[in-house]
Amino acid sequence: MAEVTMPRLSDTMEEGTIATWLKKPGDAVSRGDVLAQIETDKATMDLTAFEAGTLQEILAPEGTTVQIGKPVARIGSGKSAPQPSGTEGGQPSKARGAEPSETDRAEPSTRAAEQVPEEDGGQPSAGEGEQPSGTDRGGPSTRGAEQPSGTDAGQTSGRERDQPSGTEGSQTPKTPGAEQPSGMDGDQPSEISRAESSRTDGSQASKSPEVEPSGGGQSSAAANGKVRASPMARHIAAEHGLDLSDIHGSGPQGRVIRADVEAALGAPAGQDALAPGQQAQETSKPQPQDAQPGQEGSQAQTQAAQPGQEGSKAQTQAAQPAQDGDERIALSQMRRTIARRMAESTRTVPHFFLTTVVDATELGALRKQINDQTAEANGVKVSFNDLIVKGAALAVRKVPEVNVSFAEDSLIRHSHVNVGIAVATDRGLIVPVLRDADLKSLGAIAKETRDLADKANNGKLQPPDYSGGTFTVSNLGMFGVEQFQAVINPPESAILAVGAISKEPAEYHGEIALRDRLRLTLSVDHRALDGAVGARYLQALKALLEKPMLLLV
Amino acid sequence: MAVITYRQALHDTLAEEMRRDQSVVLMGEEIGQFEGSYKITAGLLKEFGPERVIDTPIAEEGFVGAAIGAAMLGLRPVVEIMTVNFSLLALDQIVNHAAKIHYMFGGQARVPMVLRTPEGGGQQLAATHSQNFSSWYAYIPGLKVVAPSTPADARGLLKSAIRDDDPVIFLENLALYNTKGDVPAMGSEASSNGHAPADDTVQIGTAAVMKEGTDLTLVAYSRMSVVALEVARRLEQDQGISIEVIDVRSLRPLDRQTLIESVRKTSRCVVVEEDWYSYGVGAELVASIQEGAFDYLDAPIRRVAQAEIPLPYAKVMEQAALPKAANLVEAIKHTLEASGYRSRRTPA
Repeated sequence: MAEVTMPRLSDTMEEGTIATWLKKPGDAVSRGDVLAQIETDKATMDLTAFEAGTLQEILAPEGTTVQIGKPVARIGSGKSAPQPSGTEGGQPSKARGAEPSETDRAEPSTRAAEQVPEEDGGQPSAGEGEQPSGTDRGGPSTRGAEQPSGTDAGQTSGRERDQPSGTEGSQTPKTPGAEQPSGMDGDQPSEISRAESSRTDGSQASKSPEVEPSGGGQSSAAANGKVRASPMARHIAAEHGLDLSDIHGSGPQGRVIRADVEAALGAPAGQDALAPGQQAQETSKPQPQDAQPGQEGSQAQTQAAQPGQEGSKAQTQAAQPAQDGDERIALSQMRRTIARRMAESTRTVPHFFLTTVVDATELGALRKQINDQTAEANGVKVSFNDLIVKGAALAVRKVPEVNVSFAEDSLIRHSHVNVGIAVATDRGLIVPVLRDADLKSLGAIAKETRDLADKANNGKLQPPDYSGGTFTVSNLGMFGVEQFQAVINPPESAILAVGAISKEPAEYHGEIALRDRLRLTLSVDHRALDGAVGARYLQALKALLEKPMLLLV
Repeated sequence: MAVITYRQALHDTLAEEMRRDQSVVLMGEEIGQFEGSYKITAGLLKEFGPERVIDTPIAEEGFVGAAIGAAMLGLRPVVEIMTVNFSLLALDQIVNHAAKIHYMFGGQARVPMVLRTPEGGGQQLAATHSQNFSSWYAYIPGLKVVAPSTPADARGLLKSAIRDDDPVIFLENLALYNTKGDVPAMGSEASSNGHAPADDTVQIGTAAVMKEGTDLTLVAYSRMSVVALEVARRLEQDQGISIEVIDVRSLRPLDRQTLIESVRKTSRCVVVEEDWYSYGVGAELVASIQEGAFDYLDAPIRRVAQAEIPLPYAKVMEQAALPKAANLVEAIKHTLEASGYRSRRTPA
């Protein structure tokens, strides 16, 4: 008996929510099988089995949130899982997985039909003579592979279907949720689902042994907690943050298909909560670190002063009763993570803020020159953000004291400069990481940033994409925000908030001229760094950005 | 521009290539005096003489081996094997020699040989003379394998095959010889004077979109492409179903990208082949498609194939065992229904 515990699936993960169980008690489990899908703070990931055996018990039902290391299920050693009582169809079930061949006697009809295909697949021509009648005709060997019916619908389906239907159904490990084996679906859903519950197929040990409560008939979709959906439907639902279990499946055996998801999308309700205003447009651009930067920053300041209050404030807010027309929106894991981490940061990290003004005229000229000469060939334009990310990374190299993490009794100085780039998505804020940004060319930075932003927007970021950052750049310039203060993304020690570039009169070679001006604000963890270090960092960065050729050499 | 038969396209293309390149020679059983069992080589002995159109003994292993040797020394033999069923006698030469020589001997010699041979059932030739071995040959690295379905592709791919420096298995189909089709380049001066225009050849390794569509992708090759196209046209005309038909036409190398792109567009797919169901080319096609388009599938991919039995001789039974338009229609409907096609179409 082994316990399956909630694994740590990402750097920042502390707990995970069971999104879907893909196995049920009584199912056979092989090492590496996906037992469940887990929603973490960043993504939905697979929980795989490290032990083979039988899933004995589910300790955390779908929807429950479990801390890392806490048990979610138990796997027992028995090969032939005693089926949970009552689930068996009753008749020819015979725990097949256990003793493949002995059982024949018991239900000759089933066995006959079943064995034939196997032999048959072996030597099509020789063994053929046997009359096992129509059975093998179709695609006997395919039986094991399951799809057959529909397929050989080609020319043999007729025959296949004429088979003693009970037989047929019972050997086709039809399982809701197991998806692909569904080939049958088109054909006779009800019959199959009735029969299928009766038993499992040895040849498919790892997959098929799902046992459906008999009588489940049609809407098997949600009945046992699994959602049967086509890949296309899943894909679209994931893109729009829809929960499949909320969608009625109109496909075979209640499968959610594209049309169902599209219908759900058409309906006004069900949309994901969008943070107000913020990600209205331009979601693909790198964006601010915090959800509502303006506010957050100021909050953070007061925060640092009286840490105690924030918590209680949050509570009162949460407690506030909804009024007419208000809507209560459940927090996604991502929102929850943002909330927790930002609150934690402002509560525990003493922030201070340093702002500098950069003359970005030369920077703009360089950017134009670069894009005029390379954009076409490289297929990607270099943005101001890319230039600033490069500058920020080089400046970290020059002032490496910034590249640290505060670890209570020590400071960890990082050897790599991995720059996080805050990206706002429909689901919320996430900070993919550009590794060794100081060593990368502007072209590479531009390309990678775009790829990461795309992935972020599509929910495709994998843990390595957003872990390991040592410094973050958050940019609200594209929204015309002049300057703001960002909340540090722990365990990093600093974050750079980038404002808009605007034309302002300024001193230039002893005269007043209209120059492009850019405001940069550095938020610093005062536990790790002092003001002078932060100031030196900004100085170094300013120097790089005002003589931008330095970014290229 | 000309509408000609598949047979005529092969014949004319062989003649053109022989005129263009002295090193192209033909070998096979009864291809000279008798002008070929299927008359593909009619008249060629007369025009090119017995040195270039060689009647061989009934000894596939021997003459395929001879052709491989000739190819290694600079000729471009086009071998006709009367039907694919007899190619089994030469399997060792094809698999262990033709496909390997260039790789095993430091690239010193290439084997620019074409092995033409018809596959297919439906002619009441009984079980041993009605087979398809596409998947056997397509399985072998070192070979190129094409299976054109139209006269134009027969021409374009035969040209490419003859000019290719690797051994090419050129799979024809008995039931295609009399089918007709447009061959745009045929008869044009450019093609007959030996300076074929670039677009006259069909690149090996490219699939053809025979018909565009948005509701479902129908994938086929060789004879089944013709059936697939008919079915697609009929379903579009009668029921407004928009089916994209892809003729794989090159089995190795396989143009996976075209298949995947199409299925990403349509979300539904049916694969048809005349071969047997298990372990067939269709299995490879389905696997490739799901790898590349998994997230876009709205229903399981279905396969239609021949019944898994030695093909019966009796006509009624033979026809019952072969995949037909009706089987295709059924598979298409199942696939559409499984993904709610109807409900999307009919106004609520």
